Amino acid sequence: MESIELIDLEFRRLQALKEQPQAVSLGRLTQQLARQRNRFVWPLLIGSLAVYFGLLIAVLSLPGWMTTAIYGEMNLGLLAVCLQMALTIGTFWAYCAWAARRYDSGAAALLVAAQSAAMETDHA
Amino acid sequence: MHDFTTHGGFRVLAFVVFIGLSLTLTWWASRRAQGAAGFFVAGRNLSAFQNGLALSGDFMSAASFLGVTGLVALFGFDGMVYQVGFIAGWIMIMLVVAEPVRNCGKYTLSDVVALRLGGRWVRGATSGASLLIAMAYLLAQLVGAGALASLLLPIGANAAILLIGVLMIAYVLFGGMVAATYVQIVKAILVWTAAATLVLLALSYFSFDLSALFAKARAGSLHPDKYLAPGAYFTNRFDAVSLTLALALGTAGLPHVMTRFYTVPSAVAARKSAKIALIVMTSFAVMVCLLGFAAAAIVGPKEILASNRSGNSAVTLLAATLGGGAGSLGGELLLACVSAIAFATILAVVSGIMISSASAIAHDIFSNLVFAGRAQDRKQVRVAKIATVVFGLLAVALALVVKSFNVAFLVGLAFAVAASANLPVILYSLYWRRFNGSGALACVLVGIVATVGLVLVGPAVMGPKGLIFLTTTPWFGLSNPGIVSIPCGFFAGWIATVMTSSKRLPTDTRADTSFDEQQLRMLSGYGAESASRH
Repeated sequence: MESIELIDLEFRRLQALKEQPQAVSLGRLTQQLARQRNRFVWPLLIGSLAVYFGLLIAVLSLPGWMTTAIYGEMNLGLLAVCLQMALTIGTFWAYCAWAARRYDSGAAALLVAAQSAAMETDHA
Repeated sequence: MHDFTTHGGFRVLAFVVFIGLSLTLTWWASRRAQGAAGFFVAGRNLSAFQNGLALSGDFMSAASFLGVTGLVALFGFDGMVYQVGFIAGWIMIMLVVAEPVRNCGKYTLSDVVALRLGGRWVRGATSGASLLIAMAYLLAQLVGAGALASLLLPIGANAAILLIGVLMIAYVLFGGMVAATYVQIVKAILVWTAAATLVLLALSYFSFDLSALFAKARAGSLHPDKYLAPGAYFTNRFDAVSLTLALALGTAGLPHVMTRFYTVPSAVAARKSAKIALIVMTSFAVMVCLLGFAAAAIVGPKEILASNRSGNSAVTLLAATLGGGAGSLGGELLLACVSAIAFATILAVVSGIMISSASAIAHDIFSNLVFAGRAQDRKQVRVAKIATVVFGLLAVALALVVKSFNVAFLVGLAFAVAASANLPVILYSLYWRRFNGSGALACVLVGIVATVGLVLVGPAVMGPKGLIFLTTTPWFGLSNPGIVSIPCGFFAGWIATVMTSSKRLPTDTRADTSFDEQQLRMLSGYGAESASRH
């Protein structure tokens, strides 16, 4: 009886040793990917919103300047509006390009790692 | 034939055709909306293109098509601030909300928060905020529909509100999210095509010389010196910034927009659908601004104001003029199409709001709060259908009561609550490890109280331009409370979390684990809800 308990304990110890590095690596992979995403996405978001609201405040604070003609009836104010719309499209284009090149493969690898970790745990 | 055109016969015919088409779609959708996932999120089987069109349909509302065109026609540059604000809202959605929400949620926005913060109070508070937003938005749309009825169709305001209410309930009751989405897609195609056709006709009127169009619009406007520059509509620049803040940040907290990301099979599909939506919306925003300038140049502000004080009839008058004038065959045909599309717009938007409200009541309140997650799918769908009828009838009854008041501020209120209460909770729960239930409750409660309180004591409700105490000065000077209420919501969530959490508490290990699990699901989609099979 004692020997069976000892074998059981040893088996559990080995299992724990086997699972620990996997859990750590999955956690580390997740954190790496989260850091990678946050490093790109948050500065882009804050930068875009800052430019957007900066343009808005400039337009509202300097109404006289905004009537400065650029071409025909096109003035600085209308140009600022066009820039704001272009900024939104540009921001999203930059994000999509970055995600396709740098992020999606990492997310897919993390999914595979999580699935195989779950399968091994089930198996054990 | 003459009688038929002068009595709005074409408009009625176009409207009846659209109702027939939408009901056929609902009948077809009712066979596809099987089970809870089918009813609430169209089985997560929509393509990125379909969802992109539906998302853009939410943006292309009557407020954009009729309201903004009118504002641009009457006030020029300032009218464009609305369009730019709506578009800017998508920066937040696309970068930090859409994909994480798709991976972390199930049927409602509260699911995203509940994944980490499982308390009943948190789910109750977030679903309450969602329902408040839905009711404010729904009321504004229904009252707007009543006011538009007299402009577009030979029916009264009461009949229009009742008709839209009944159709909205029917779409959701029988077809769930599938019907609401397909009605939205058809409407998006119709409204975009109508706007493009009118822009082409208007530009051809000026031989495609944009400068000539702007010059004529400015020369004939009520404020020629301010027409192409800021200052004609927004006299208080803080109010303009406050409104834009609510529009730019609130869109990411609107439940009926966010739940659309559940209808696609993956986070990548959610991103693609946002991309399609952005292309459609931005082109539409540009066209709406051009239509406003064209209405000012071709119809003229005096005629627009004579037809409707807020300028909502600008686009319909422009359509009639471009078609050959009121009473002519071409004019009536174009007017009929634009009028029917304007009504279709309202119908599609309110159906989307209705399905998200029904999901919040059935899934959040009934299934998770009352039955602690033990309610079966069939039961959830049954409750959602009952909720659709009750919530829909309540909205219609309230709209009939308040229809004579100016309730346009309700749209601003919905966006401000979304930005002050929903957005902080979503962002904190997705990205802040220490965030806890107390923080979530603080965000929602302070966000709602600050927004509603400031609107009640602001110029939209109190004072000479408000609804009550017409002789007093409003206690809060801004019509849009976002500039104060949004920081309040974020700050309340931060301070409550910091004050109630400590890294030394043993419970924090559990919180850490749940945050790690959520991060794994958010980033990789592991454990995320998958599409159901046909």
